[in-house]
Amino acid sequence: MARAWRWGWAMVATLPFVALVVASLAFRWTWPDLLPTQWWWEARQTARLPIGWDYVASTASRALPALLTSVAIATAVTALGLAVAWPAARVLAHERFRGRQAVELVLLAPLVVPELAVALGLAVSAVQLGVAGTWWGVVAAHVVPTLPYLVRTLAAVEQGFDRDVADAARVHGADAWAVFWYLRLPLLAPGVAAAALFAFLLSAHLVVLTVLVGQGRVETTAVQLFARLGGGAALDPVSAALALLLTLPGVLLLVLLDGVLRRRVDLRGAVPRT
Amino acid sequence: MVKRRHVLLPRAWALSSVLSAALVGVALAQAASDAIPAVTPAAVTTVPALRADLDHDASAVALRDAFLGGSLDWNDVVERARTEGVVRWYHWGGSEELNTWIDAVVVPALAVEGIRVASVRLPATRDAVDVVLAEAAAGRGLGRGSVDLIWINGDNFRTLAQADLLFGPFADRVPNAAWYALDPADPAAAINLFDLGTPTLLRSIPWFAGQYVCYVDTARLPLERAPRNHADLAELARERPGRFTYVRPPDYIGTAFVQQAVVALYADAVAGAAVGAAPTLDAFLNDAAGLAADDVARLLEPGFAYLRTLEPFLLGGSGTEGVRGAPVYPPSAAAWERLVASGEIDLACEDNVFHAQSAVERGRLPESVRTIVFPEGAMRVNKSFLAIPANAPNPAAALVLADHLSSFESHVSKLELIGYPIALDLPRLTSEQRAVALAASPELRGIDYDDLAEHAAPDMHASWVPLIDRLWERWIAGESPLAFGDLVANLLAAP
Repeated sequence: MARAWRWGWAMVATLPFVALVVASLAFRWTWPDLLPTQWWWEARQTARLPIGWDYVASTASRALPALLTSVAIATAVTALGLAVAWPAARVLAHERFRGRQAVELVLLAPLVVPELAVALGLAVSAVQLGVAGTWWGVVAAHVVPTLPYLVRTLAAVEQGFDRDVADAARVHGADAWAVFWYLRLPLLAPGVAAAALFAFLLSAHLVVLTVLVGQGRVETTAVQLFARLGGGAALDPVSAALALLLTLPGVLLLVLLDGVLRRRVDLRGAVPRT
Repeated sequence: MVKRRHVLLPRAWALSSVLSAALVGVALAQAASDAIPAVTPAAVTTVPALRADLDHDASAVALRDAFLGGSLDWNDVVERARTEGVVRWYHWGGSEELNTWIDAVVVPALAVEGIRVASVRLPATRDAVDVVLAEAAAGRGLGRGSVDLIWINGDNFRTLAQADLLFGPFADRVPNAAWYALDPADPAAAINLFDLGTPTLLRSIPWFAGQYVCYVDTARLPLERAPRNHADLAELARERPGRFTYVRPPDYIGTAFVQQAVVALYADAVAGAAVGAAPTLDAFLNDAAGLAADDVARLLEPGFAYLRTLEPFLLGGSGTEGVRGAPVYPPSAAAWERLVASGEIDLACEDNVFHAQSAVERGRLPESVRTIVFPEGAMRVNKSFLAIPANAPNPAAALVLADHLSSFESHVSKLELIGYPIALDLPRLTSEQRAVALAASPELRGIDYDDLAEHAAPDMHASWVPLIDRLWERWIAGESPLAFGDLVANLLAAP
């Protein structure tokens, strides 16, 4: 029974990818045919211009540079976002002070204001600051909508951290660094990794902000995909291929973080030996 | 039958015969004179000033004023373009054909001149306009922005024109201007000087020639049953309920479909009954603001009444006369095409006469698709343009790229490789050049150049577009309970 469930879930998780792979390899594929009536490899010999994966692989598509840009920006956004959100989340989770709710509201504000409104304002600011059209300008802009998610997730993670454990460690002579490295980090790692994954995926999928602050010069895979499908077009082979590329970094990160996400921290093992 | 409309459209007809010449290959098969009009050196004129509230680069302004004033040699422009070294061309980036052509043809050609073409691919042209506006809001003037050249038309051009954010009247100053009729006194120049009714004032140069053309899948609808006018279409829809629909305005292609129905049905209405003081069809070529609300309603009502009676027989409609059902209007030309590809409907339209061929070659449409003449005498033509914004960072390189893209060689390669029609005025080609262009032309799949020329019609004035879009939203999609005349009056009163 459990095995059947597992197979079921595996199917649900992989079916969209199978459909994408087939779509990316199709040449003629219309409803109601279950499979393409003509495949990419059958048509590519006679095509006057590169089609499907040939186009994606050609320099004209700029698919690879865009993917690398996506990964670089998402990585930087995640790092910067964690650096800003974690301390804030820690304070919000453990301290009680006047105006705490106001601070929380401010941190969640980007969720309430529509992305387009945020983007237009940020675009003008970016021009004034001279970072418009640069990738670090886009990174700074992406941090804004990722913050609410990071703060919310990390605050919940921080609440699960018992500060008495830290106090006990301090009593036994651990300095602040040791508390962070041997206690806080291993205990919170799964939650932090999940939050980081959120931020990474969110950044990799932002389109409006990227176009407006990057002025079109910062070309990510999500922007390329939106340019093709924004008008309600069919999922053509190139778009399917780009969609597959766009899922790649997220899947890789998930695999990389898998160990961390599953880890059950054994406190005894984490206590420094003297 | 065919010519009836033309009698009613004296001005449109006069224009259309001229406009048709601008279409790809229209005159290619015909005998031609070999004379290219001599380039008359433009007189030294006063140059309109740039917006004073922006921070302009002094040397860029000097170049602009000297070039637009007619006192700068083209070689000096090219020289400065080399020093600038780069040109940023912003364009819609959703077409792999266009991207491939730019990468394979335009970039190498300009690299020879020592200029790097950075083609910036956008989800929508509107994004380029937003960049220009945002930079102007931050005070960036000529030489200090980031957009050098935009492929643009319609609303987007009007936005830049209204914000006074265009470089200036350059179109008749670049060497390849000789391919275009640009003298306002010349009736053939209208298509090059008006962008959906907005005067370009030479601040943009034509680049793409569109003609509204429809196609059917002959595997499902035999070619002889394809409609030739709106009466045919209505009859076909009743015979085959649920097998037609059109794109919802304000999408450009959807608005164009409604516009054509409005013009055709009004023409039929005034032809059928002797309507005393009814406005002529010319009214559609002029600003709607100049008309009384009564007349506007009168002009639009037959078309909108037609679209309402068509609704039950559209995809998702009830199939029963007078009962609306839930008609499905696709959101874009791409979605419309997909409905034909999947066999759900029989007919769709596009703004490029070579669209069907390109789509078949890319596997998006089946081999059985054929282009048809619809609607007779009313297949509207227009052009889209290349414009330089007032805060272009590399104005000389922008001029050089705009000129290069206006060359005969560039237009032929674009036609041959990716099926984008030649936007040059075809009467200005030599007979050898016509032969070259004809040889480079993709298949039209079912119609020929004579058909396109015969049935070409000018576009409506742009002022009708927002009115038609809002009216469609209320009267067709919203089924407004108001009387049509009252609804029009309300919309005109509250713009």
